[in-house]
Amino acid sequence: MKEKIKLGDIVVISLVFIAALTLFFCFSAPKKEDAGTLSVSVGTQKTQYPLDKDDEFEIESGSYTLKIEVKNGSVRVKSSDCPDKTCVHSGRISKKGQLIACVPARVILEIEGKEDGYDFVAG
Amino acid sequence: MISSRVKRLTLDAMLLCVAMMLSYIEAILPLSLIVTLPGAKLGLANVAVTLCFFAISPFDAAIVSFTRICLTALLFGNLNSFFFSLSGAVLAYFGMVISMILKKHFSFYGISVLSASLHNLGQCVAAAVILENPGIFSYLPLLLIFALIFGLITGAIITPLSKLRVFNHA
Repeated sequence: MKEKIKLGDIVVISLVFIAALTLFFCFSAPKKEDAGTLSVSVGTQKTQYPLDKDDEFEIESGSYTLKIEVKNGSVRVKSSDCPDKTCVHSGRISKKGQLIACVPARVILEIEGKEDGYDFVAG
Repeated sequence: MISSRVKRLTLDAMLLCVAMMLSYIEAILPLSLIVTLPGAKLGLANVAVTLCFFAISPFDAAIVSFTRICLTALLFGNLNSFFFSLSGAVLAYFGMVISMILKKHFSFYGISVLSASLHNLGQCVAAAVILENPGIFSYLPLLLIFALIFGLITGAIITPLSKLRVFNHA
């Protein structure tokens, strides 16, 4: 009864594919090349850091500590003592809209464009 | 003569066991080194749940799925991973119900792809709620592509398994 590919399968597969493509273009459309700011959310608290200055700092959230490295306009989580290390494996991000999430520590690193209101101007 | 209720209970227990093992294998597989995408999983445990849903009954599948999530979270996870799995599994279950209603038009390939995509959608929603940040949805398109590929793979695994004789008169 359930061996051959049926009409419903094709509908589902193409719907998922179309949804993925549509969402992909929705999220990647307003991309800007210039380095913006790094926005770090710990829970609901947001802090912003400049991206054009190489820096290394630590973020403490709950019982976890994340080491963040800013280098050449890109950001990565250098090390973290959270259990799954997904944030460390996420690698570097540098373009607007990209993000690294560390769920156990409730931390989100996000790159925001220059036009998205910032708290301070560095330099 | 073995009663059919005993057989059903045994099959449920066996499928739960298989699902637990598959979750464990997934947890230790270093998939995150190849695919650096949070939440991208093979969804092997879904093989056992889908088999249970269609070969035994939707009710049994709900029990097996929920028990698996509780046990997996207790053994290898934490509170967050519990909510991720739960929201994913509820939506995946919903997908199976839809394909049960329209079962004439679905093979296990479509069923797997549908439940895998809905599972990822559920996980994204859970992550957005836990982190209170909707930006997490930017992972969704890639997750859907993975759901498509892995759903087809699990569909290919389920199809021959569903023909096993043990499932015929459950």
